Amino acid sequence: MNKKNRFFTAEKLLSASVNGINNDITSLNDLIAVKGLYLTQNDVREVVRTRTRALAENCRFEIGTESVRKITESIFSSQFVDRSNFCDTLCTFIRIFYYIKTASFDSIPDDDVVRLLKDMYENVCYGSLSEMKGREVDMILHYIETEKAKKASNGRKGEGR
Amino acid sequence: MSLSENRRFPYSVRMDRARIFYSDFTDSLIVEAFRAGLLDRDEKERLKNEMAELLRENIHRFSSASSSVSEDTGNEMIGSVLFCLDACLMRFNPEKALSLLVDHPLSSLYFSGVRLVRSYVYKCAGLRLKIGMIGDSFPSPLFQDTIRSKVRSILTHYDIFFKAQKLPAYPEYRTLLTPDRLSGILFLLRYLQNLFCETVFCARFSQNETQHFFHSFSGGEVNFYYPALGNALASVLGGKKEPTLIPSEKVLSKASSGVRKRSEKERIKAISDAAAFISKDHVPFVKGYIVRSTEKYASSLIEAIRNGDPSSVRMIES
Repeated sequence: MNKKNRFFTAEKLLSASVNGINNDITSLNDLIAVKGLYLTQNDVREVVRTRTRALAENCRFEIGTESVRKITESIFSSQFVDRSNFCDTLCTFIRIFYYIKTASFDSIPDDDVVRLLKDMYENVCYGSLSEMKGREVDMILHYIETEKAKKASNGRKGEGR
Repeated sequence: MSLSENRRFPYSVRMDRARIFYSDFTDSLIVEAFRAGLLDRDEKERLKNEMAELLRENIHRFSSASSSVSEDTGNEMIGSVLFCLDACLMRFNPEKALSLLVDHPLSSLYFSGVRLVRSYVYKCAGLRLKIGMIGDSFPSPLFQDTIRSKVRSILTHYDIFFKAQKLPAYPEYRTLLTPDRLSGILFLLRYLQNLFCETVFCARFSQNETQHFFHSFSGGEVNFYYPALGNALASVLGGKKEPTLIPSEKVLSKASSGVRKRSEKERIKAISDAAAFISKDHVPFVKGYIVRSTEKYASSLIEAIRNGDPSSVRMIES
């Protein structure tokens, strides 16, 4: 059967849930409202567009908005985020998030990628998004070093016993 | 609602069965049903959303630490879900399969498919054991290796949830009739059924005869059923009352001259009759395989018998 005529393809399944994704991302407003933040309809559209493009560019497949929710939960409490830069920050994080997932061959769990992103944003770039761009490889290397150090210290503890 | 209860579609609206492919059953069925007007846009959307939900669950099952996967893995997961759905729905005719798709949640059909695929894995394991016992004394290293380790390893590493449409490896020993159009566990099941028939056929001869036969030709690496079939057919065509694996020179020359005398049509009839004769004591399943394989390779078998060396027939290695 010609691939074009197929009913269940990755592209069609991703595009099928666009309305659901819009609603999911709009529902994030309930979460971020506690800090006086909100996403307008235009912001939601921008986030959806960024997510779709990031998925395509990094050859990734995701149903639902679990990653966007995790990223939002992590960044909305940051001291560097306010109403004026929340949407841009979210979009930048989404782009880098999917890049790191693919570049690390899925070896870094979602939660760790989000933690790395926040750590880099707050403690290295001090809230500057332009500083964040191009630092993806640094983040992966930093993660590998941290993991190595953790393993080594665990090993030493084991020997000590 | 159970799988046996379903809505009936009007017979006046027919799907074109030529547009429904058994290699891609569920997908082509939905496309064709939509074209014929048996499925509306809302139903299509519902199926798409249910498929997306199934995939979301499978991604979570694949890696609980990640909510997204690479595109290749995603495509494999879609293929795997469709394979299980196909296994469930292919048992029915397209109209009944469509009514099941419309009346039942996709997840219940999917899990019926998964159960069915799992039962095929058990069937394959059973067949492997049977073939191993029947062909225990066959001195063909490739056959023994395929049955003892290769098929076992394939069954152990077969992944029902994420790669059901693919086998982790393919057996190296080839059967005369190859199930080319099937994939995944359906390929392996048909392969083992074919191998079972070939093994039963070769095991009907005495152990001495079998051992002698295996030592007399060096092509055991590819397939030994084919030359064995050639010898058995030649011995019957040469006038023996019982087929043998090592026909004498006299029998072979009698078979050869008998074939030479006949016209092309008569030769094919004679070889088909001989196949029916040598398989008469087997169960219908094995008998069918012997007759089908003889008919498929009739011309090369006739040629080999005509040349007086029926055991020279060989499968082309791919």
